[in-house]
Amino acid sequence: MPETTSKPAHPTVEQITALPVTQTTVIPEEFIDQYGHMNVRFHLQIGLGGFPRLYETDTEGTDERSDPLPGLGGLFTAEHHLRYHAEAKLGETVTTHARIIGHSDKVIHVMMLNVNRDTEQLSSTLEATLIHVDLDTRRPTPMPAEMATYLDRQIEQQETLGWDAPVCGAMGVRR
Amino acid sequence: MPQTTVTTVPSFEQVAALPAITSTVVPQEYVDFNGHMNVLYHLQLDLQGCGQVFQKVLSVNDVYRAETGNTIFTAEHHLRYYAEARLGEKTTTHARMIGRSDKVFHLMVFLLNHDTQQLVNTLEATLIHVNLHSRRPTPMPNEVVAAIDTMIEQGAGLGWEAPVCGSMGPRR
Repeated sequence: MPETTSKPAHPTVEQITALPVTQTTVIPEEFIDQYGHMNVRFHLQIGLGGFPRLYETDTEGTDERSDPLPGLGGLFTAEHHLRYHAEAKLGETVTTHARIIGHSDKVIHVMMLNVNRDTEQLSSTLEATLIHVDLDTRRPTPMPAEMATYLDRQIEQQETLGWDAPVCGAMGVRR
Repeated sequence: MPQTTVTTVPSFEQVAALPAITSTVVPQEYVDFNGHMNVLYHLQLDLQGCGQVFQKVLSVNDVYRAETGNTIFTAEHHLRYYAEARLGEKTTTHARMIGRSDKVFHLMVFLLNHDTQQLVNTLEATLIHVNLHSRRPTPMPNEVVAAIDTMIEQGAGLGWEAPVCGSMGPRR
């Protein structure tokens, strides 16, 4: 957006859609606001719905983990960064694609990219950092080793894509 | 140019010195399987605060839209989640203007938890004044600019910096 601070070049629709689809949404009436487009709240909602799996037997989305690993705690969000690139209107189909950007033993950094398949435009991105927490103490605690291994494998595979996720630069994992 | 990241977070008391814009007691339907208000509702409450600033402070409301054909679209949001809010806890929103250009302004909304006396989250927003026909940016009129500048001045007099992420805001 030329009127705001400079941004990294974002990947093309062809590049993004080469990633698996984590969620498909046909924009329903209740997502549309007074301006005739999907309200920002639903960009967040569909981004979260397309959250990638975090271990082999996990499912997509941010609902309760379907098949929790031993030692799995909760995942609390530390930060979200949303960029709204293009409108999505009633009846248009948006596919969500996800990249795992990095992780430490307690923090995960991901990006969900929402692509409008009717206009062939990147509609929005949702960048997120999440903290693995002990649900009793509500404090950060290391994630199960199986999750870390799975995330490493995803990151390694996605590094071969040839494009960087268009991160905001103000978030990430302390190393 | 992007601003420098501010990592010092204001205290509950500092934020509470700003006027409360909205007040919400967390209902059951906002609470998720982790036993706290879900992030979707942080954004919803923060946006209610934003909406009140647009309508009540900047007078960008239904009448303004009908008369000018202009409104406000969002370019970016940055949300930081500092503390939990649980069922039945009382929250309020508070707003501070960070900066502007002729078409873009940069606003931060704070959500406070009055039961725990904690800052729950912040929403930083880059907002664009657009024409609804062209869907393109258009300069803000003088009265909106004046209202924004008054808010910026009020914020500058608080004695603490807004905890911006450092990668957002209008081009200067």
